[in-house]
Amino acid sequence: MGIYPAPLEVLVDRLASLPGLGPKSAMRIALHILRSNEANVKELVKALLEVKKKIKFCSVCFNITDTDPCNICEDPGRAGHIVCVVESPGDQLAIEEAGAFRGKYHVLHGALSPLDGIGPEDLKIGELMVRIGKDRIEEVILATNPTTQGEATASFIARLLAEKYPQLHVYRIALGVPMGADLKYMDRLTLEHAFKSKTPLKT
Amino acid sequence: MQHFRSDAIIVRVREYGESDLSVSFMTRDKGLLRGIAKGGRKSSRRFVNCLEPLSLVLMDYHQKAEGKAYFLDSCRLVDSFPGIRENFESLSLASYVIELLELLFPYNVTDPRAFDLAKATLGFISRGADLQKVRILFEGHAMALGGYAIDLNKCAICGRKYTAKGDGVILMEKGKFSCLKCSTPTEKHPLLSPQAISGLRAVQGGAWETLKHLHLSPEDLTQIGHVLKMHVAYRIGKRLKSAKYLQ
Ligand SMILES: [Zn+2]
Ligand SMILES: [Zn+2]
Repeated sequence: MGIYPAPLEVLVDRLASLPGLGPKSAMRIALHILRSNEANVKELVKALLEVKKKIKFCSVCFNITDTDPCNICEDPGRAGHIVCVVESPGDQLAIEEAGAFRGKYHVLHGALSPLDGIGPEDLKIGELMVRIGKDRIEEVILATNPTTQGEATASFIARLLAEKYPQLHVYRIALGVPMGADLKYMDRLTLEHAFKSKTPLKT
Repeated sequence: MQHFRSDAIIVRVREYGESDLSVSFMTRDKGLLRGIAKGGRKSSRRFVNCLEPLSLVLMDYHQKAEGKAYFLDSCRLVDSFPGIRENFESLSLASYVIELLELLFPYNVTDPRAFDLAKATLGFISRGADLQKVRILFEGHAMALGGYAIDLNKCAICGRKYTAKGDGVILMEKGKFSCLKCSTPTEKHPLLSPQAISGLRAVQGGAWETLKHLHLSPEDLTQIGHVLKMHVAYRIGKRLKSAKYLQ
């Protein structure tokens, strides 16, 4: 038996199992909920249930949405022939918030990770292959994370695309020195990537 | 408080709490360990580019008291084995290497040779070596280091010394070698040519240089590969997650 009443322990446990929350923050949130009035708590519960009920995956790009296809897929103002491939809805959101890209997306829902038993069939790669042909995509930008799994995923998809769609333009997002950084403090791997992906200067 | 510095291969990295990472890593001197990288998710210069699975690093870490958790202080990248990320086959074999070693050398079981084997194998894969051969070299030696070497010197049934002349059979369920007089080849008792037997002996002993002089045919390599695959399945008794992605 724990030191707190059982229902509180259960709530803390549930909250602590959420990503990014440790036991301390979970306890802080649980105590806040305990102090809140009942109407607020009911609103929170309703919001949790609604999100589960109403949010689904877009059948075109597999991003999270409450309409199908999603707003981005339906937006005629965006370049329909360019697709940016990302690992997760969170990555898509970050690119969207930056306003750096005006094409369409494809969310893989993960990256290849044999050590965790995650292979190509567990990601939306097959769907991407079909979509390229069906939607007459001309350009694909692979924006998976620069991690072991993300890099392997990008290489894997690039190879599949080259085999099936030799005419397609396939790009990898640039990896290297971030804006505002100081070269003196860059590590070897970052510098290696930066030199590998050097670009010609337009004068 | 005790401070340590070890050569380490990063095995798994998980988010832990709000800003930390839980990292399992294989060290040369202490075997498999797990530690917390405080603030590892937010930054930082102390861990930049280092906490990536399948990277070789020089790790500084400490333990407040014997038997307590490890905390990572900083690490420096030694080799990221970039070739591993270039295709899924390489990543799968590299993952398999780490997964099998995790099972053969779990926490508290230390053998520096296991670390050296992991490092050498990841290096081969990264440099684009033939993956079938790398797998055979790795599996044979790893199983032997883990205490599962197949004794190829004599028949396990009649006890007669094997003189490297005739074909032999491996009794997979027992992990033992038999001469053709005592056993007939079947699916569970695969046949090995004399060349394949010499090859298997070389890989088990980690005598990879010897292997080059054996002139193994593709059939010999297939025989050895087949036996080792079954040997791992029988001895480990558990399907490795990464195994289904190996060709
Ligand atoms: Zn969509
Ligand atoms: Zn015999």
